[in-house]
Amino acid sequence: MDERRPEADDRPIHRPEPAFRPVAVVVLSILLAGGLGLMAGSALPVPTWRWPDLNPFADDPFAVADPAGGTWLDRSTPTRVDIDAAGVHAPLVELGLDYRGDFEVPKMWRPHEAGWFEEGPTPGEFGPTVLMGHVDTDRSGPAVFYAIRELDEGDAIEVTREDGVVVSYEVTGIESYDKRRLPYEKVFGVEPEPALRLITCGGEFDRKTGDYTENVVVFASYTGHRKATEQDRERPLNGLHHFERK
Amino acid sequence: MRITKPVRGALAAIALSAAIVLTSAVPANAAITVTLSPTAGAVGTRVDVLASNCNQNATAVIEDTNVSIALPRNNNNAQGNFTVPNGMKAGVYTVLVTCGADSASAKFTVTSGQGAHTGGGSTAASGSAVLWTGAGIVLAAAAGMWLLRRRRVAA
Repeated sequence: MDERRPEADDRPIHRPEPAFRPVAVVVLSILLAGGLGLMAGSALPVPTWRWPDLNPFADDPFAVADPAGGTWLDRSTPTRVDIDAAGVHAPLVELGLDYRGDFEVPKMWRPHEAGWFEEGPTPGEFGPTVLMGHVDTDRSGPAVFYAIRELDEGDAIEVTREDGVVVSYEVTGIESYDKRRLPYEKVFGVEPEPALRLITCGGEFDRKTGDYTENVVVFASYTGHRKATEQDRERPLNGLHHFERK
Repeated sequence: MRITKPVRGALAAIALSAAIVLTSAVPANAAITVTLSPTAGAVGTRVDVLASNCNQNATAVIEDTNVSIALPRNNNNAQGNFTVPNGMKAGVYTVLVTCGADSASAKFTVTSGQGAHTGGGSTAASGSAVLWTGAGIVLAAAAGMWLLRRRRVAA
């Protein structure tokens, strides 16, 4: 190499700009690392790390939450949910358990519908109201709760009840849990005030079982309620066509 | 002064309604309510049971099972807990609390322990697609490096 150098200096320079080579090396190295990361990420499960629960009252939910300590609403069936930040304007259906004892979910062919867990408290009653909706369907693409994983703390959620009361909440957190290890005491447990949880799917899609590995849970706390206004009543709902593949 | 009959009736009504207001203001007479936390769970889930306004030791049973729960008095309430026992079938159960002469209930749902099947997978990137994308990128990067090296040698 050293011998060739003086010779090379005599010739017209065909080499690219001097800065090109190091930049290319850096770019290619990043690509290489990224590609390796993708390969590793797809093959290995990603561990989720959480803060340990430091709540001293974790042992006794009623130490901080008194069901008789406030004037909460009476029972009334929720009929729709509106989340402007996620473009959700969905009708609600009643959900219980299916024949296997699993949570019942809205029909796969009705991706615009969300549901509420009928055995639990209704919005504005003391305790957690739980809504469930599909993240996607088996063929038509995104479904009603596709965008809820993008919600931020403080985003507003409104649930309208049959009696014409609109209960409002604000998002306090979003978590994703392994479906086999749902923390029931967190998701279905009480808070000092009426609470709302939205559940959809997340994690990897397992093609063998035809199911996602995780449940994404949006936690929200009560911020108040009002009588539905004319404007509330005129809000359009997203229909089936909203989720048809374009 | 002579009180006429209608006035006497009105006075009696006022006295009676005052008495009703007074008695209903006494917390001990408030209706007991039962609250569970959580309201649903799988086998092994610990469930706290609170009987509000039950100012004495109380007991609870899960109807149609042999589970009974002691709810010792705690301030103005009675409170205890149970753990969903092994072998308890998925379904909706009634937790019936007896507090002296009063009783009240709340519903608990035992689930299979599976999460909610809230997706069909049409927007999911399959694991092998990601793997092949990664492999493709690695290959492209390696080829680029090799080209760079070859050009350096050629130069």
